[in-house]
This record gives sequence, C-alpha cells and structure tokens, in this order.
Amino acid sequence: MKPFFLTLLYFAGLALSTHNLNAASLHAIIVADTLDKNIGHSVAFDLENIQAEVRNIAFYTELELKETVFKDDQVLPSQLFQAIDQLEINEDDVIFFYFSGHGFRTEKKGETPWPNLYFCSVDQGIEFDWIGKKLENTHPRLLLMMADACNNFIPKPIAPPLMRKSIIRERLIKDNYAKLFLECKGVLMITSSLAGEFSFATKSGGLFTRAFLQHFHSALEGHAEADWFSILEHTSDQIGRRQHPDFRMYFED
Amino acid sequence: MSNKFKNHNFNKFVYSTLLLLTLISCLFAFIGERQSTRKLTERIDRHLVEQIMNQQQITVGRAIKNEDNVFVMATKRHIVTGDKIKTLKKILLNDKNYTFDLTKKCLFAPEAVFQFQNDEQSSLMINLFCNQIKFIDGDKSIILDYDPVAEEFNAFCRDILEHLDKEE
Repeated sequence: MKPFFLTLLYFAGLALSTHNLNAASLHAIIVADTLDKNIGHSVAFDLENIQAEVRNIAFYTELELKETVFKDDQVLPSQLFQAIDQLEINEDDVIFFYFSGHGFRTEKKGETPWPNLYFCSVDQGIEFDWIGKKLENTHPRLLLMMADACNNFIPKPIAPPLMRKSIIRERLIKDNYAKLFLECKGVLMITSSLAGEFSFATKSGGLFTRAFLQHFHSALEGHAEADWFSILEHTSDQIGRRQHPDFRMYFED
Repeated sequence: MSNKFKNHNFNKFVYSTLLLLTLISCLFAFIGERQSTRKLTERIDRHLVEQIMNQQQITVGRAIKNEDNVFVMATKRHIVTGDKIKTLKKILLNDKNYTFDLTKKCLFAPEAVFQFQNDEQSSLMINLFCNQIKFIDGDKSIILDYDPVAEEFNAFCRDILEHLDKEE
C-alpha cells in the first residue's frame, strides 16, 4: 500500500510542477507620472487603483503576475524601453500596459487616434502606438494597452520633442541583429538553388541575394520575424517560380 | 376682542412676514450675485489674490520657451489698463469661473503671460489650448482650469495677443 501512495504523491507533485512550468504570466507595465505638480496626486490614485486591479486579474485568472511599475523619478523613456527589451514573453502570456499622465498631439499626427505620452522629467513625448508596436513584437497572447492622458492638439513649435523614431528604430535593429547573430549557436548553410537547378542573375544582382537581403532587412526593421527560418522561407517563397533555395540549420538550443 | 381687531392683527402679521421674506431673499440674491473668491484664496496664496485685486495695469506678452526650455514672457510686450483690467479682474476673481475639483491631464503649454506691476515674482500664464491658468507667486505655482468662462476669457486673451502682434 505504501509504495502506491508514494507513487501517487510523486505523480501529483509532477503534475503540480508541470502546471507551474506551463503557467502563463500577466506582465503588467504601469507608468504613472506621479511627480507632476498639477496631476501627480490624481495619478497616484490611478496607480494604486490599477495595481489593485492587476492583482485581482492575476488572482482570478491564475496568471502569474510580473509587475513593472514606473513612478516618481523612474518615469523615463529609457527605463521603459529597457524593461520592454528585457521582457520574456511566452505565447500564452498577457501584457497589460497602462499609462497615467499628460498627453498631447500635434496636427502632424494625422488621423491616428493615439496620443503622444508625455514624460515630464525629460520633457519628451513618446507615441503611444510605438510602445504598442514594440510590445506587439514580443508576441503575447493578449496585449492590452491603456493610456489615461489628454489627446488634445497643441501647436508644433511649443510641443515637446518626440523621442526620435530613429532612436527607437536603431534599438529595434540592434536587438534583431543580436537575435540573429548573438543568440544563435550552430551552423547555417544556404545555397540559392536545389541540386540540379539554375540560379538567376538580374541586372541589379542575383535573384536569391536580392530577395534574401530584402527579407533580412525587413526582419531587422521589425516588419517580419527576426528568425533565420522565416527569413529564408520568405526568400524561397519570393523566388520560388524560378529557383528553390536550399538551407540546412544545425542550431543548438 | 372683536373679530375685526383680530383680523387686522393677523393681516399685519402676514404682511410683515411677507416683507421680511422678500428682504431675506433679496439679501441672499445680493450675496449670490457677489463674486466669491473664497475657494480661490484657499487654492492660491492670499497675497496673489490681493495682487490681482490691486492691479491698475498689467504687462502682457506671448509665452516663449527660453534656452533652458522654460516658458517665459517674450520681449515684445503690451500694457493693459482701464476697462480691460476690470474685465480681467472680474474673470479671475470669481470662484464660479474655475473647476476646483477637476483638472485636465493636459500638457501646460501657455500662450500668454500676464506680469503684475511692481512684483516681478508674481505672474499668470494662460494655456488657451486647455483652458488652464497657472498662478505663479515666486517659487510656488498652481494650475487651475477655467472651463466655465473659457469662451469669454480665451476671446479676451486672443484679442490682447492680436493687439500685441499688431503693435510696432
């Protein structure tokens, strides 16, 4: 009888540990510009209420809560982007981004409904949808973005500068280069056509090289997955009418 | 006592009561009409309220950002006197013109600066885009929303700024 109970206990333990390993997470990123003299007091209430709500969500959904809060002097674009870069998102995870503070827009923004979020300690704005895109690139199951900020027009000459897209783009490109060249270990061999096939040359370069570079750059820019397999798949699809690249990946996990 | 006498006293009582009630309602109406600055004084310094009350002329200029990225008054200025000062005081010194318990999450980007005479430490900055006014008294400052009187006050400020722009 005793071995039976021990076995039962073992499997129960195993089941529980497996459940924990597979548990999805709720990544709550809360930015509360509490230092602002005019609205800081109100924002502090928002922070408290949202934090309480996030805990409720985690409790009722049994999602593991991973909370990152930026308040007071931590409300800096650089810190926010660093935190986003360090996120480790699984396909079942939920991301909840919340901002409470000042917001604005200029005529130049056009028809997008999303405001620029204002980071008062650095007098800088960040486009709400840029943060959204960055978080979307981590591929969570659900991304919930919420900004409690003004979205009114102010003239361009007195509007605070926006965090330059080029800086954000530069970071994204750097991250994607790292994914492709620093986070992979193994061997990747590619030939532009299958055994027995021709490879074509155009006036502006080889058909394969041109297609490869196009999809490589697209991945670096964040328009597609920064992953060798996807890059090569897209390359093959593009030139598949004439030639079929062959590639072998021997990557270690 | 005759009934006639009783009726006379009763009528006297009714008329006196009606008269008293009319006087009380007139008094309340008068008090109601008076501009209260009780809440304003609670929020901004009494000194600043008194400053506004005592101003005979105010210097107005456009707000610009200096090299430290701080809003200051541009060098081109205009002095406001007479009826305009009266209007300004009427708008500013009235609790009903502010929403004390509600403010906008709006970036404070002022267009106009009102500088008090004989006190460079005190000024007002007006954010016409958000209907907000910043009362500045030395190092202290507070922003209030003037939505109830936004149309009138914004028109008043724009008129002064247009006048200023036209000046040589």
